[in-house]
Amino acid sequence: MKKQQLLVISGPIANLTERLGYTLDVLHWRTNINECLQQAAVDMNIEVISQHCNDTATLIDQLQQSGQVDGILINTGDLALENQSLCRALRAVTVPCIEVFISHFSDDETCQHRSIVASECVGVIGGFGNHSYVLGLAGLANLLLSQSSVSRH
Amino acid sequence: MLVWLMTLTLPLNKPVLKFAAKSSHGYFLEYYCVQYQVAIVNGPNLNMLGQREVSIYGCKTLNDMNAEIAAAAKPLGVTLEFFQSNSEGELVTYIQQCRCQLKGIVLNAGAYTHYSIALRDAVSAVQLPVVEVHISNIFKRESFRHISVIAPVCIGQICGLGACGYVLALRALLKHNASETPMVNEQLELPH
Repeated sequence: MKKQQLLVISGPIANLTERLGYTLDVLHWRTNINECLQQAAVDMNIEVISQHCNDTATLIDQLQQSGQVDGILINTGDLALENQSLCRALRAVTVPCIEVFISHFSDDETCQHRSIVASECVGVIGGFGNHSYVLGLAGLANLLLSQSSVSRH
Repeated sequence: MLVWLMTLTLPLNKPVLKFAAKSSHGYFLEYYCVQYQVAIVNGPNLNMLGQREVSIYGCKTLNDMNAEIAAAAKPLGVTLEFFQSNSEGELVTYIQQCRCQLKGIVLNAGAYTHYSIALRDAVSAVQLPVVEVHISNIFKRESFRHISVIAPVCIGQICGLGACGYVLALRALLKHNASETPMVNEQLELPH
């Protein structure tokens, strides 16, 4: 049976963990995200492609070129709050997508619940540090499994 | 040979597994292992699952969903306590009673999520890690559902993943308290 191939896209901030970690939350940023993802991929017997980028255009390119993957996990960082282009790109994606946040988005009172990207995703997971990504992968893998079992019947 | 004798409940409602084994010298030894106990709390209208707006919430009943969560929790050594109420007061009372009794709460407060300050204060006062869960993606729905007054007092939020969201929330709680749960195995079967 073919392994599920999941794309993990991290936007601005997410690739600056080491630099920003100490000012944000040292516990959550201690472990490198990519190591977490690869370990989770081995545990779940799935294939994970992890990409980081800071600009909207590259994020949109990555989403548009994601035709071969089975699902997408996305942490858009600050772009979640404002970026309509990203929303439209996500709307055009045909595979299920889950949005993840490392910190709890409700911790920040000024921008809580303003993720406009969330409405284009199947679900949202936030607040569990790097483990948010692992939980997102598990949720996505489970969703794909349930979809394939429904289509088989 | 290790023999599982029985499950019993000690004072403070802390369930323990009692194991008995014979040592190499023939002594009969007993081992106690305090289990990780978590409450799965569901709020108003979740008793109507399977009948209500199935296009949004799916066709599984609350009992079906609880059975799936319980099956997924079993290999983790987690004991679950399920509670559902349509009454805000009963939910507040139950959450208050969880203090000192449990290790965490998975909470789907239903519509109370969006306006119940009483529930928020109960969560804040209980001093337990609480994970907020929603079956549907609340951000895809009406704008009044985008606001969660309980979110700031929870450790995190999972929405849109159905029954799987509850299991992921359990996993998040275990990770949160990892230092207190050395027996926890990360392998987990998720409901489909």
